[in-house]
Amino acid sequence: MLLIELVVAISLVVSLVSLYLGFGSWLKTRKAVAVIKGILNTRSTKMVRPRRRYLVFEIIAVSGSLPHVRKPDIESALESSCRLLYGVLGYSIIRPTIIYYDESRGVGILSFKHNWRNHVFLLLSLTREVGGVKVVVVPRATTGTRRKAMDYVRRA
Amino acid sequence: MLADLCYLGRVDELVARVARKLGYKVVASPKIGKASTVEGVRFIPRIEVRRGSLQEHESGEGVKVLIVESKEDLKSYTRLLGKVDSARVVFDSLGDVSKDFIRRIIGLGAPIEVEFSEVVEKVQSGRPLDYYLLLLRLYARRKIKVYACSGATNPSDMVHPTAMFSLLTVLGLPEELALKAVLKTPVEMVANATH
Repeated sequence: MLLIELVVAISLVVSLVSLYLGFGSWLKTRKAVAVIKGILNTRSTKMVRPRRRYLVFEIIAVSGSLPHVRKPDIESALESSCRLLYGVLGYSIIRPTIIYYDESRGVGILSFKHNWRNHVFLLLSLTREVGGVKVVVVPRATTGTRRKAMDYVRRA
Repeated sequence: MLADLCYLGRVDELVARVARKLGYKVVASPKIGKASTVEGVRFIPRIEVRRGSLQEHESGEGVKVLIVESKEDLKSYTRLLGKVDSARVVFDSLGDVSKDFIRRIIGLGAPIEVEFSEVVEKVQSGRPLDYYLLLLRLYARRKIKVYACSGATNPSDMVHPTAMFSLLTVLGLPEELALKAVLKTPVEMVANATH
């Protein structure tokens, strides 16, 4: 009887110890895997190079006439909206630049950094008055090169 | 098909032209009583109902939006199921948002409206967006449905759908959910609404 109790106690101790050792080795393995993953994962530590994107937009004059909407007025309206929304730092990073604007048709090309795409769309929607004319700015297409954007403008 | 379910201004040909240029096929406005088509854009009535006047508008045709101004508006919300197409929470008059209120919003099951112009106005005036972020968090956890609309009062305030998508993503919503809130949910609501 005593012998059986002794065997049960010993087996219980052995199983507890093996459980403890197994848990410890699992933790160590998990840590080792995380370290290796961290070494291999270089993407999160790399800074993405911002590429230029070219947005073809169209201006619709709601009040007033379209020829009164001039390129410098659009630039200043965009700058003030950008500074209001994202501050001086945001403006200097995004740097939305109008590289082409056809005053007769109200179609133009805006250049910006690719990782601020959504911010630029939001910015355009908040530009509601240009040179005293109430306008709606409609984004038409986004391209990766200036040539493709010009092609789109010619076709539009 | 794109739908703007919250144009609050007067409907005329200029509005239809701007809506068409922005790509909208359906626009809902509270200023019209009957569905009509102007310049290829379908205008449908938007019926804003309060809890007390729900019975009066039960047979009305259009998108029914429940205006929630207090916690009591969502009391015994099970009675509202199927009677309203969506809900709009007026956070300014609501006061504090309790857990009980959130439970009621989840239980209601109707999509919650997020107005672009209202959010932008709050951003520009430097007021907190806590409650909108709460709604978007609940949406991201798939507890509620959310849809975006312009809330414009004149044609120059109308916004392109990409702008609404951008606002939602800038506020931290995943892109797939933002797309659904702008494109899919409003169209589903129009299809389900009686008009």
